Amino acid sequence: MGGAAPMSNPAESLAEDIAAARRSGDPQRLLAALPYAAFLGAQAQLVEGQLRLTLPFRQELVGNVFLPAIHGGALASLAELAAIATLLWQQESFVLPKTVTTTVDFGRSAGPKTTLAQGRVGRLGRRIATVAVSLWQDSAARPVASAQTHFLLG
Amino acid sequence: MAEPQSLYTIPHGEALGIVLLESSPRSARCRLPWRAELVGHPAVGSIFSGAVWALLDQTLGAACFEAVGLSRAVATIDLRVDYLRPSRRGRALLALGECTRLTRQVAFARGTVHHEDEPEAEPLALAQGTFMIYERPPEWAARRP
Repeated sequence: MGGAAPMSNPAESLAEDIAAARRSGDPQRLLAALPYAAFLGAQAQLVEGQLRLTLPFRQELVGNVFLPAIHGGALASLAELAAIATLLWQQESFVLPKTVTTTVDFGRSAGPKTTLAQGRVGRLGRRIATVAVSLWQDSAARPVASAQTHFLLG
Repeated sequence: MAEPQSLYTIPHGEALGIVLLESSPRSARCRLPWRAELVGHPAVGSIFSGAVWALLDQTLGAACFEAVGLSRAVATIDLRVDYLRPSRRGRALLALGECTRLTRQVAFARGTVHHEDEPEAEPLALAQGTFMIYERPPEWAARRP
């Protein structure tokens, strides 16, 4: 790395954000690198050393107003954010992973309450990472959805 | 083309800015305008992949909803979205969804996303999904906006 690189380089500032978040031990700081997390309203925390995303319920998340149920797209977004945050937190990547494909299977409808998401890194190569994400509300044993996500690293 | 507005409001779709442009008995077309809030990759300005996922979910769902008729509704069973290339800063997205097969209980659907001003270019994203069909409870119609 050339020493005179300008600090405004987005890739560098992202790497600094990630390193700073990791040093601080506060995964919420990681979400600063993921502006969509703020739009969605997702928060990050560590639970028993594992990064977990929390999505408190808001009316703007609803997909079906009659049930009511959270929009599948909001759950898919939460899953992708959880997967990306997990990869960044584990410092597997200092560049924002690019989503290649995301498949979400819905188990049961997600009601008007907080949704939690936790990713598990599966295959991790030099170029491709696979993260499985489980989403649940009342109990991790009863997921509302599960997602398979694949990312290009760098 | 049938009345293009979906039967009920979809708050998350509205929060994203998704608008159903048109629908026919087996297809639907939705638009998602670019907005800074929706950006996933600040250096590129591309819309976050999850927002594209939501756009396709809603478009394919609308296509299946059109296909099953007014007395029934659909819910996503599973949906896969492939992101072929990132969208560009400032460009609105158009999604086209098609219900490709209808069985008694399941609707199958496919869809694509393009930049609005490049409908003939290679798509930005591809989707394939399945939707469960169920009887629409009568009280839903009563609460129709």
